[in-house]
Amino acid sequence: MKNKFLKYPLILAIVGIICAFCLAIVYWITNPIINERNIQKAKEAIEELYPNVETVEDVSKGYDNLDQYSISTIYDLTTGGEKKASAYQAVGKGYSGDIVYLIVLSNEEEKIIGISFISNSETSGYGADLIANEEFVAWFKDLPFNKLDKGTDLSTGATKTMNGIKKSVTKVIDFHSTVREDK
Amino acid sequence: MALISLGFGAILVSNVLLSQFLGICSFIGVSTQKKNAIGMSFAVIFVLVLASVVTWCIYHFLLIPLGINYLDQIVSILVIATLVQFVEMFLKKFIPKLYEALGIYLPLITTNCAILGVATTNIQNNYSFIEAVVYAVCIGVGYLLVMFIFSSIREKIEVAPVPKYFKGIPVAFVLAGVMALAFYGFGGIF
Amino acid sequence: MEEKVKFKNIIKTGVFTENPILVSALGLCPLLAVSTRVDNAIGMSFAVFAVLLLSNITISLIRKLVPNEIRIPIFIIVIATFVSCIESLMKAFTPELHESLGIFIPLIVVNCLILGRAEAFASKNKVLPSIIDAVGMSLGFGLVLIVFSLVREIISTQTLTFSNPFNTTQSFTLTLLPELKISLFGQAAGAFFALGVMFAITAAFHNRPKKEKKEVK
Repeated sequence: MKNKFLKYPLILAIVGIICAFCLAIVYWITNPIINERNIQKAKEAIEELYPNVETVEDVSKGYDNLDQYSISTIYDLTTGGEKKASAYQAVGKGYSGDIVYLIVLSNEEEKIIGISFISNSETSGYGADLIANEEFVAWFKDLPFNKLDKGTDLSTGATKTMNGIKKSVTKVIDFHSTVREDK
Repeated sequence: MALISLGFGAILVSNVLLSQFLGICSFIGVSTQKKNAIGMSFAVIFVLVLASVVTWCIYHFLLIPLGINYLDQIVSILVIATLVQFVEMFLKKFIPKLYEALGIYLPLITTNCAILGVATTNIQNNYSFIEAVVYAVCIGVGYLLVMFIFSSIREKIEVAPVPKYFKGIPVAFVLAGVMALAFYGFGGIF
Repeated sequence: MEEKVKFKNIIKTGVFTENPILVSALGLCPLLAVSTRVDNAIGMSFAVFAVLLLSNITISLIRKLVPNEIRIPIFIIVIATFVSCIESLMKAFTPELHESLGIFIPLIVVNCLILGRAEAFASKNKVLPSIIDAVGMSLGFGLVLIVFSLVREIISTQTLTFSNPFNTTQSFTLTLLPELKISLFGQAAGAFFALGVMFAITAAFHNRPKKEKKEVK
């Protein structure tokens, strides 16, 4: 008669391993689809903000320490054969969790071409409403870098959300202006 | 400070019971008497904080480095089940009165949406360790607060003239609705 | 013939006599949170059905191999695995539904319904009855959830919107109740009020005067 204290954990471990294995298979199947979807979404967002783009190229691999600048992905945007703009997918720390957004910055002038908010878990009625507000998104359009800090009245009542966004965008602009010399 | 608004937000604005709808089964089941409600709340707070800490650590120190993040749900629920088992044994030995008062609702803390919900939220919103602890503690405080108020009201309602078919659970939900309305007022503070 | 009657009884139990929401008061958390829109309710019902079906089948299959003392942890591991699988599949194929249901998909693990059926039925019955039980219970859960959401969505937004979960650009909106709009029902407080009324109606239904029985006697 096998010792109970040996048998039970063993059975639990076997069950656990079989389940983990099944889960790994499902994950292996679904993860590429999820990633592909995210890339597709990013491309669509970029095309909306920067309509004349010809090619979008992910160049994140060439850089280290993207985390420091809250950046997750960098795209080079080419129009008319020249890399005229860069798109960054970054994450800001909002009121209740991460705010994922895509921002297109001009390579030639010091301005933001546009921003698109991808996901957030802000409070409905406050931060979430700010992010969904078309006027707020439009404020970022063609906004010069030095006007970002001034902010906008639209963000009243959602200060923490606004600050989270501002902080992250400032870091992205910093990265764009200093680290990316090859743009 | 960010932590303070996170904390108060968790207690008042996104209250676990009235706003996030987590922990409703225990809410209705245990809130008929103030003493039981408070005892239950403390048990929940204890399991909540401990479970959040342990699952956060396992997720960040074990699952992420090994690249097996997707196992987080299985791990979380197993941690919670184990913790509740320990709490049960502890209460049975040291505070048997509370153990008996809680009855079946003690093992049911395992299936209390609030605990798994908070553990999952800590992971999904990418909280740091301190943020996770503060969030868990404050969610627990929010739970205690609402349970206390609710059970106090329910004790009084037991002897009030309630319409025939509303007695018991239905009127409890209507009360919960009124409390939820009251808590809306906290929305603008943070 | 006997089998068919038995199956009919199992379904009847799931939908009426032991309806998970109305009788056993299980799954109230997702009920309140997900019922703001009928689309979400339908999605949640299918997710619960998928998990319940898979878990009932698996637990019924391994019921003779599982030692009694550790059956609960094993059930939990099995259920959690299936929920994680369903969540990944939803994230990949129905992303908007996954975002709407949010945290309530992982919370299916602690939906007492699933663990309850595993313990009370699947671990004590063969596979085919367990499958029927899963169908019955999910039907009971889903019907209540969907009807509840219908009421909430129509009263709070005057419209009913149905979207294809696999491709949310295809959607279809019906405008009903052009004059009445009580948006409170779309929020937390309204959810509680509606739930209270629903339980009151259920209580009234159970206590209705049983005329037919008196006549027979």
